[in-house]
Amino acid sequence: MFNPKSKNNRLIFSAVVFIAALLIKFFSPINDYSGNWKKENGGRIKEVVAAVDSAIAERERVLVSISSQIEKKIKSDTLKNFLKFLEIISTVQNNKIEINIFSNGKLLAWNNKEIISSNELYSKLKTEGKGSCFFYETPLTVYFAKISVIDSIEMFTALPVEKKYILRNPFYQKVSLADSLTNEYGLSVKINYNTQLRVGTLPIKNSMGKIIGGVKFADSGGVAVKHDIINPYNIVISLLFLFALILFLQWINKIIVKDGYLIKIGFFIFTIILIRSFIAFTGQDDFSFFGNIVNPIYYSSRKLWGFTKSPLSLFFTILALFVISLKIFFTFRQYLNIKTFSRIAKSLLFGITLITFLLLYNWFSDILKSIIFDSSILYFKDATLFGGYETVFMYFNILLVGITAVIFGVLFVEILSITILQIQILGKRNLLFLLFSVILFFLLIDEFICRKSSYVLAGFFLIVTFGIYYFQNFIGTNNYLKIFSLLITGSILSVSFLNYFNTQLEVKSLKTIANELTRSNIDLYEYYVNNAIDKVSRKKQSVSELENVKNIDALAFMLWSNTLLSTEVRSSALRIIDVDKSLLGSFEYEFALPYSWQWEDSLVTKKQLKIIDDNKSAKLIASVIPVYSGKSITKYIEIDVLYDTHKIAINSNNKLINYYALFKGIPVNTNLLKIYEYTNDTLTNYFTNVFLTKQEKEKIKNYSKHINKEDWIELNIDNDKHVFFIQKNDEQIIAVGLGEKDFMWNLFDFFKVFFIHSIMIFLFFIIVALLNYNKWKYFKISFKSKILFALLIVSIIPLIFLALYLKDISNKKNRDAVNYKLGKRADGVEHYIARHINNTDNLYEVFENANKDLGVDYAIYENENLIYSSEGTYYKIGLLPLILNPDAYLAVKKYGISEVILKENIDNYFFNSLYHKSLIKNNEYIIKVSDLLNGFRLPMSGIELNVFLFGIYSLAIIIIIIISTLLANQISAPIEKLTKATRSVSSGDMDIQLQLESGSGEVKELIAGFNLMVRQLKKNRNELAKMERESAWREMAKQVAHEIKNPLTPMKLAVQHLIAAHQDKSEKYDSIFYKVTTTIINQIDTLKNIASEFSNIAKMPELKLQPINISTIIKETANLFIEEECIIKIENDKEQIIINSDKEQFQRMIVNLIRNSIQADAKNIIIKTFPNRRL
Amino acid sequence: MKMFSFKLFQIIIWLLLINSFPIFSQTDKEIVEKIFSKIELGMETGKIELFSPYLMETVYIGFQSKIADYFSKEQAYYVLQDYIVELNLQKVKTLKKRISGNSPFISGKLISVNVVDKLHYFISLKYENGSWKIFQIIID
Repeated sequence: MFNPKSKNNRLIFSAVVFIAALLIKFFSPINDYSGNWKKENGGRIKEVVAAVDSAIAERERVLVSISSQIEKKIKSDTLKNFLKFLEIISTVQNNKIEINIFSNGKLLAWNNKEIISSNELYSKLKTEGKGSCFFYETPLTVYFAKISVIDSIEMFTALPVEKKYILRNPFYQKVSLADSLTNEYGLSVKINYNTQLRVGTLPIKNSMGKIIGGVKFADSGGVAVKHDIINPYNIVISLLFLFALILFLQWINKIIVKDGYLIKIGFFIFTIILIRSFIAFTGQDDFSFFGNIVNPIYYSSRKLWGFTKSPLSLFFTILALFVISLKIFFTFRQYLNIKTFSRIAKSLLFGITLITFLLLYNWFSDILKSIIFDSSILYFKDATLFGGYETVFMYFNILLVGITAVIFGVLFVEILSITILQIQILGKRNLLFLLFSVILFFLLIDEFICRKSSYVLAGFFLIVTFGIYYFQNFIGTNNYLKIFSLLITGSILSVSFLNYFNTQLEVKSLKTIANELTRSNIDLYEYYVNNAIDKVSRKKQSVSELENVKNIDALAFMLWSNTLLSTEVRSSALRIIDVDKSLLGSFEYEFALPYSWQWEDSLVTKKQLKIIDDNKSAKLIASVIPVYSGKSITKYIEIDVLYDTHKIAINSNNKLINYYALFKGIPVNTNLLKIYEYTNDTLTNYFTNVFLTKQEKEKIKNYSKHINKEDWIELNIDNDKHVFFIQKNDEQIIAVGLGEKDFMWNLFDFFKVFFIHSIMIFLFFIIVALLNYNKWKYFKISFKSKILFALLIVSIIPLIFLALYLKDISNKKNRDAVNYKLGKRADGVEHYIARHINNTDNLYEVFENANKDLGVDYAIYENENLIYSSEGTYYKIGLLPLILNPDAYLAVKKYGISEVILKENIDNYFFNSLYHKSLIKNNEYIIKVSDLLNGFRLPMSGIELNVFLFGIYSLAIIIIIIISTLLANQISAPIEKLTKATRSVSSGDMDIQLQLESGSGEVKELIAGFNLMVRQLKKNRNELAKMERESAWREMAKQVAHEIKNPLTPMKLAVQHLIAAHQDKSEKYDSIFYKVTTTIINQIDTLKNIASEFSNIAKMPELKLQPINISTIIKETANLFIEEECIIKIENDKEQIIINSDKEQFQRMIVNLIRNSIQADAKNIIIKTFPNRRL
Repeated sequence: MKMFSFKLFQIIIWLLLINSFPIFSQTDKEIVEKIFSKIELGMETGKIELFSPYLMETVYIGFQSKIADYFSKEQAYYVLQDYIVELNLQKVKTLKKRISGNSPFISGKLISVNVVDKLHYFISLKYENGSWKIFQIIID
């Protein structure tokens, strides 16, 4: 059945794979899992429990290790004071651990914040005991903690295991043991951090065997099994079917598709499309296994019937087109002989190709526009170079699109040019120019009708494809350079279009911003409130166990942060109210209304919601829910939201808490936006630092009267042209605008993507080099390349160092500027307080006034305790510690430093804090000023500097590369000419002479010397040949004379003897006569032989006949004349034309033909071969 | 005959008059109601194509705090499909609906097989370029 030589092997193999895949699909035990996941989950649960135990053990190990370290140091230290303890704690190398040291009920030392009160500590010591680990819950965080006792000192060490609050900003660091287990095992894991275990909860124990908490699992839909087992299984099955399909198609290709390149191409295209469709149909481009590259958020479009529904799906589609383009490109070059087509066929082909070229341009524009508009990736706004891996993947897709378009474009231009190059009336260059003009004309018409991009880009598209066609076909260069040029132009083309469409997106985003400003209404806010109250009610247990909670404000913040109020609502509050209606704690965000019980019922027994509209601009939406303990109501939770349309600006001081980014995901720089709101024809609100003149205000107002609902206008503001989008909603008008110059491209926009593409192209060549490592020994770096590399290294490396140095200097300057500004503010506050403190006894009034009058946000500490903060939110909710930074405390108290700057952080947001010692009314205080609360505008921030440097240096590098290439060409050109000339001389061309003008200085002397040498060589060769000929003739003549003399002597003697015999009338005359005549005849024969030999010597040398490829020989020979001022065109119908001939003689013949043509002043030399013609 | 012709003429005039007075609110209400029905059915069955033709060119989608952004119409189809199919909804329970005014909306609860807690949803429409379009979809 299996014959190695059989053509049907592929069919058999395909059938085997197909049947195997079918059997696995329908008879696999995994099919049971879909409905029987509980059985699989049993084993999984054991794994999770083991993982929990392991995580607890690991944390316990860390706590034990650190607390032992500290204990040893404390025991060994004789001077047991708090400053020493602070120093000891500061040496701990773990920034996650919290350490508090107490003695006699007083906090002595801390490394970050006071996370447990002394009362709680002693209470825990009683219940948990010393040395035993347990879970310790605060309103914001759950810790894994331990209490150690050293003499009269209690040390509390804790590691965070669960953050209960959420900050929806890029700096937030999530800490959740439960979530990490959920993500790893696919089961929903919930951990109880107290010892009250519910039904179905498995206990968690510490190393002493004591139950400290519980873990519970849920997997309601078999998600885990689906994720870990069924999905990979489906991938494998699909791949098997795909493999079977490919084998089957290959078999058809070999057996059925035999002749005809058009049929081959057609079948190939059909195969690729079929495989691509199969991948889409089986969902292989959609498995969650592939992560973010199958997430439609990063890219998806319904164009192309579902073949572009994710970045991976787009990749497969573009790859299919790329493969098709390569196949057609090379097949066309090898097989298609347009010259043999009839005139009608050529015209038809011209028309079809032209239309296809226009369609290519349209497709290219559409796909790049889609990549910009149908993706959430902000390719240009995001200042980071690479972004996530899904972004890099999309960059690769963009490059592939560009390369595919260039290949198709070059192919179509080549077909078009061949169809018209038969016209003999015009020269080739003129014909190409005419062709370019014709295509450009139709392209511009297409752009006029279809409006795919712009006229400039349409022309650019044509110039690029034409340029590459010209470079590939008319400029002699090696294949690697041709490939490189193709890849680079693909990138340049796609990046240019991408920039253009990004500008369009920026314009469109003005409309999106206007929509966003009008998206929220009272109904939506009511939904948010309902949603929030329902979420909060699920966490009621946290509220009902309030008795031991110290910071109820923090609890309120925690509840608030877990609702949509933190991201969708501008002004909200969450309040926790006692059953007697007194406020226990609250968190307000931009919410100024004071608390008062506003519900009609004195006892609210279930959820209530109301909207209060007292004819002010803002409406209040409030909801309340009771918290039960058993059957009794113990607390209330109230949510209040203010719906106020007249607020656009957001207080940026709370940027970490509320990520209510009004314009999140918008591609424009929001600082440059100009937004104006009119209500009843009056400007009521604005978001900009540019104020409109009266005329400008009127212009917007008047224009909006003429529009229906929305429209675009252009307006001059501050002598700058602006584009505005205006939207009308009843009496409200919103105008959102941006300056035209702010839409324009900048260097960074272009070079960022181009730089990444360059890296990808570079990696491609490295891979190619690695795959061809066996050819490395033949690889020679030319003189030109060496010069180029040398120039690049000498220029670029110092440039890079300069850039790094500049960045370092700028960062240092920025740091110094920030520290200086912080210092000035601290001084300002100190002086203000000093001036006004004597007028009043109320310190806090002075502090408040300092904040209002100076506009500086600051905090004041007395000893280690916070006594005042102008912006108290972060302290109130526990994100910033109420206790002084221990390093600041040490600096001031121990080392007597009056001012110190420290780096602090909230999660991954780092900021600088300046601590300034101050004497106020003879008491020592510490003033703290930080850039968390005081925003500074630096001349150039870190990101702006990176963007600027990157753009400038990228341009500089490009310029250096271009100049270096030109210089390398110029320096190496004479040497290259010399090299080629030397090769010509070695192959026998002694007539070659180089132009003296192509060099200068030593090079000119070298060329002159070479020319002289060649002339001398030629002369010497000729003289030598002449001398050799003369010598040969002389020698030959001598030999011949000698040979001729030899027979002549006996002939003479014989005749003399005969004469003598005749004269003597000898009796032996007859025999003598016979002897003499025989002798003479023999000598005549000898003379005849000598003459024959002589004529043989004059024959030509023998030919060495062998099969040679004359196409190759002609090409190689023509290359010898590449520096000559003429164009040598070789027209071969085939790459290989094999004949039997003498290679040397044939080459010499071609050399002579070309040399003779050049000497006859020929400018165009065409060498044609006709393999089957009879001449 | 004459009488009949005259009456017929009157009826035709009345019909023309009735149709020429656009009963906007009534027609709009029906359209809005129809869109909402398709949304509810589409979410329950996971067939986004039932209501995807009504998406705005740029539509806001907020989903369980995982995403909250504007998406193009082309992109929104697959974004919604991914999330709604993942949810595997059993039931869509509309609790509040407004079919008149500038911003008609529906809101309610979603019961999912794959999510333990109930989800809330809010979907509103906006009138644009002569038709009602889905402006925002929020599920949390």
